[in-house]
Amino acid sequence: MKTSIYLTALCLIFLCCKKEPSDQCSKPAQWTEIELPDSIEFDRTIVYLNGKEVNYAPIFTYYPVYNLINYRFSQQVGDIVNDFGFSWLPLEEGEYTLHTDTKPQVDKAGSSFGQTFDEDINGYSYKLEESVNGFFNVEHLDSINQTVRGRFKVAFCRTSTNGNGDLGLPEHLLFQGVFNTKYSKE
Amino acid sequence: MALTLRGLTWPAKRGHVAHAHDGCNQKTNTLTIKFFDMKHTFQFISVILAACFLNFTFLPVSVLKAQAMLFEMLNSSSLTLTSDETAKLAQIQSNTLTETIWHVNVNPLSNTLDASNLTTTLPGVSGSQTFTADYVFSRPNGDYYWSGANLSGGQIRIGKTGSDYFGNISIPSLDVYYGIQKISEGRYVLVKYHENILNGAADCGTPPMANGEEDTVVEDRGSCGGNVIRVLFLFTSGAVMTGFDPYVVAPAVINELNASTVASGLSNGDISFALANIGQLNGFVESGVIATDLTNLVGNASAQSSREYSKADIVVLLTANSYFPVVGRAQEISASNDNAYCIAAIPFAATAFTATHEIGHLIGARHQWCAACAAVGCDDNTNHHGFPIGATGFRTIMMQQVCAGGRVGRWSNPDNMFMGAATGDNDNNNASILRSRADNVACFLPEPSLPIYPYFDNWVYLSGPYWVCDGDDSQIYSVSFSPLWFTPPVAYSWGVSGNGISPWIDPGCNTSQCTITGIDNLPDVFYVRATVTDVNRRSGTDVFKIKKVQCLGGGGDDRGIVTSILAHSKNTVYPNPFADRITIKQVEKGSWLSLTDLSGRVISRQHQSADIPEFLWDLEGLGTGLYFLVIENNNSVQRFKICKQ
Repeated sequence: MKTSIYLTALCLIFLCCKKEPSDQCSKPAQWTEIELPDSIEFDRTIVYLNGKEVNYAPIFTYYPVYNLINYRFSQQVGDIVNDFGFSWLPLEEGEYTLHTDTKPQVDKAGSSFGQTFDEDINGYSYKLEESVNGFFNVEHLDSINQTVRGRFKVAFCRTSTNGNGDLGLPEHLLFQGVFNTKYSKE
Repeated sequence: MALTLRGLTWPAKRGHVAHAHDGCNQKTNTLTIKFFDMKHTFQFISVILAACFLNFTFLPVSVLKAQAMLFEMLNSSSLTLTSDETAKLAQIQSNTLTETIWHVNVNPLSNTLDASNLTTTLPGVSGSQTFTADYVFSRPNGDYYWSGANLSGGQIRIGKTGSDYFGNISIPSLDVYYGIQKISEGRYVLVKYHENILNGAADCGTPPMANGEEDTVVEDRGSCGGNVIRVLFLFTSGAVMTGFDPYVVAPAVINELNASTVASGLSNGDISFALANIGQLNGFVESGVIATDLTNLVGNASAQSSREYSKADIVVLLTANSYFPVVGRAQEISASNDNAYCIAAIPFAATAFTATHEIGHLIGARHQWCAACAAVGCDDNTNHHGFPIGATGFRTIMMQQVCAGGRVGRWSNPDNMFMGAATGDNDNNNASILRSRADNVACFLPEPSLPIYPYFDNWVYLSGPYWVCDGDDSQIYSVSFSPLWFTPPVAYSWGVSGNGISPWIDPGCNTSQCTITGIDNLPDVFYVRATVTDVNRRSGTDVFKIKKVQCLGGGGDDRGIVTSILAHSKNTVYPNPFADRITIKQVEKGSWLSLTDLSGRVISRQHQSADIPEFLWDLEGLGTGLYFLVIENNNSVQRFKICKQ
């Protein structure tokens, strides 16, 4: 009995003191969300980061060879390039939850964030915050005119600065947005 | 001697007369003469006299065809330029690098190649320069990529995509560097870059010393004794759809790495690069976010096993241009074994040193010093930096594009000059890091004990000998294809060429196997091409560059090692694809026959204790798909890709 108590205590101490793995990140006190507009005119994309509008350009590319489309949003600030995307989706309308697997999944969009500076140097690393109910919805897709309209919400948290100084991004990123634009064909 | 194959005439060697070999009295004979100097003119006259003596009938002089030069110089004063062309020209002229511009017509290589040689005159350079083919690729649609080199260290790269030409020529020993630039559809200028402008460094030049920073390179030479860094190139389906061919780009990058290190003052004893393998990374789809794809690549089991199989120290994934403006990324600067992976978008790997740049990062090379050009990412850790050569001039391989100027194949090195200017200084010396880290990186994986053969599931795969005996008149080649990519039934088309560009002669084959005849009359280096087209009009091409070699002795085992290789090359495996049984011809006593899957795992192995003219291997129980048949003996190893239907 005594041994069990000691072991339990030891386990508790171990669990309490266990260092958080480096690829984990803390949650913010609260996410700053905004209400997305119901509609958006053609050729317009609005992206919000933590509730503020930011300038991310949509780069949507359909790959016939894969029969998949990648929805990427990219921002260039000086030498820094910030990208997040929703990957490996079929060329059709649909509502997708998010995943972090390395290959396409049915009814899900691969989602990730990446930062690069000086053309090809790793910036901060982020991972998908799965506790936030992120989504990517393709509300309308016209494959003749190659246009697509939809909305999304996705959150990331920083896992590493990779030894870099200030690269202009906070620890927690909540992107929301609406888009109504063209996609290209690779 | 010229070759006539199905009514067409091959160009003969320079200075020789080519004629149809079926007689001299037919008006349809073609006489192709190439002469560049008095010596050849003399040869020409001699041949004419000899031919007259032999009762030849000659064609009118108008039919005589001299080999065209690559560039046909145009008189700029007689040209009428459109406003767009004028604007483009002004843009080129405004570059302080530009020394001289010539309006030129670029002649197609089909008119300029002399078998495997390309000879051209260059404005400002006396005499002519001859380059010998290095990597050559062409497509049935007429696109090609031709790279050549000469003993002076000169290099040329000429490509044609659609109607557009691109390319450059560098001859370091003469301090000249030219580029072909398009000013409008079908109109080109040849630009010679200025030498004087490269002297000295200014705005983007030498950054200040940071806190007494000194050379921190430690001569860590590793322990395995090797200095050959083996590079595995993987590619995605998306990369291929860009129109750039990974099978051309990958060896070109290896060439670029070796040429640039030597040009930067490093010897082959310091560092060299070898192509470990090329293959498609099946199932890998770009996400659009390069950081994610690189992480996925490092963790990809297929990439890891391909690397292990190919004994590659470094892995490069060639992708579509999915991440622009980012076009490449390395997992780590001065990478560990586990992180020796990078990504390069194939259009930039092919044209802008991007794969070479990322490989440089993995070895330990860095961008320019923080103060030089970059606003972010101040990099003052070491002295392994890219360097801008001259005020606004060329930049070394690790230099970012922030400063104006094109990238040239040089690593920063204060002791090395490019067109009269130092390519580095005490604080910017990437050559030193390449030298000091070469052994470490080369020791990531051991050198293979046997040659590594391609085993990847590429689209179209030619089988047959790379060498043929001079004197052999026919040889069998076969082609297989990936059932993952092509939907049967497929159509086969074959071609034979003396220069790999044009013309391609149809040898009259329309199946997966083709007997190429008339080899005796082909040039010493020739090309065999097979194209497969399926019901969806999806097509793929594979090309062999085949060399004739002198076989020793009078036959049999006495013919020596070269013959021995050739003899083994004559193993023929058929049918391919096969149903249940496959036949292997000429299996020698003592040979091991192995059947492996695509990962190299041995499925079945047999030893032959006697010479067997035709060995019939029953593989009825084998599942459908692609396999390798390996034939090994004391002298050689041959590997055939076979397909069980």
